[in-house]
Amino acid sequence: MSLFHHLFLPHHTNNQRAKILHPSALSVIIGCFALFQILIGQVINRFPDILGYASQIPAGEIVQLTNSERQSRGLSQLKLNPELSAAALQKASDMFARNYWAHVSPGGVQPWFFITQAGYTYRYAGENLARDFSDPKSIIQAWLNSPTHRDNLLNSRYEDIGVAVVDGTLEGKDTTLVVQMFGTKLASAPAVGGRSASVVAKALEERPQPSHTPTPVPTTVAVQPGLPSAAAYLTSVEEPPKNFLGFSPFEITKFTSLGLLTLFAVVLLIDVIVVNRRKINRWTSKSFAHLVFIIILIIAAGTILRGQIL
Amino acid sequence: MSEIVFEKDFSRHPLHYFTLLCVLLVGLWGLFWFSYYPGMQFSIFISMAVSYVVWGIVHHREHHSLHLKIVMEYLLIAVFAVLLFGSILLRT
Repeated sequence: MSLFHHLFLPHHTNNQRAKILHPSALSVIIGCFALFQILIGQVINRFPDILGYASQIPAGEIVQLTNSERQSRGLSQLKLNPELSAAALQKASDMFARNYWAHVSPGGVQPWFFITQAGYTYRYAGENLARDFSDPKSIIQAWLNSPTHRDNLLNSRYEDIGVAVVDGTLEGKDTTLVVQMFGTKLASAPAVGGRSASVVAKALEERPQPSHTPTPVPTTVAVQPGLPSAAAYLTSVEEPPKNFLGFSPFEITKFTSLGLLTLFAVVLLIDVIVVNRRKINRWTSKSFAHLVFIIILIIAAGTILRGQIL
Repeated sequence: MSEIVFEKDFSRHPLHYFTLLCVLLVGLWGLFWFSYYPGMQFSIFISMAVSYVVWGIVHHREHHSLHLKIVMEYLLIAVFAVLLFGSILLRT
């Protein structure tokens, strides 16, 4: 208990300031964190099986959660369709290869191009995108919270689903992209009068098959080296590769960094309160200023780490 | 040369703390604004950390309590923050 007081609370043993706020302790923590980061990098390079990058988002669970939400609202379950999964994988690969985060590529290629290219002739189709989430439930919840994505997820017209979860680097960040594609085959859906051929591709849109043949911008979808092929991916849709520890290196860094920031914020808050209550006079830097700085950082980190949907 | 307790310090230099808060909030806004550009976010964050150290030096100078040990404390907190935040931002 005395060690706890010494490390984290203003105490007579630490000159009335938590030891971890002393320059000597701060230097040790900075050094240890830097070494820890170097060690993680080395382990990733030398022993990829132990700490290689691995997504914690099984595509199968995205499908299962989607169907649970639909079932709870009395809607039919969607069938996992290999062609839609292949289309989703190609879309994710294209986003990494061309470095964009959008439904329509910078070259003008729409999501429907990947669906038709995969051999799925659709009457209705839709696409949901997500990135930087750490678990499947958060993704489904984020989609449900957005009216347009929710409309796609709970659309009674869809019969099939395809999901791809791909890790890569997008806009300079290691990212896990989740592409969810919905569809109903042209042969299986009843004809609907007055189909529109002028549906604009936006976030989660249900798209009727145009009455004429779609004319996507001709382009070759370049699959990023190292990404699994569609066939390889489809065999592993239920079980994504996992490393020995079950955490990605970034998750370890994230938890450590946020944990240390939170610890310092708590210690500084206690320091400000205790010093003011006891009217302790010290000759140190301002704990309140440090606290404001750390709180701003935690807010920024929380926002940066939040997943995005499109 | 002892430090005065926070209430007195705050009431004596409200403008100092207001300036610090404004600088950090502008930086926070910049981090949100450039959410699509990690390089710019990191530059903004470095600027925030440098501003923070400069604020500490100016504040203690006004207080007549500036000492190398104090500067080191601000510097180490800034380095600590840059290391932690940088590892999150650049996803290393």
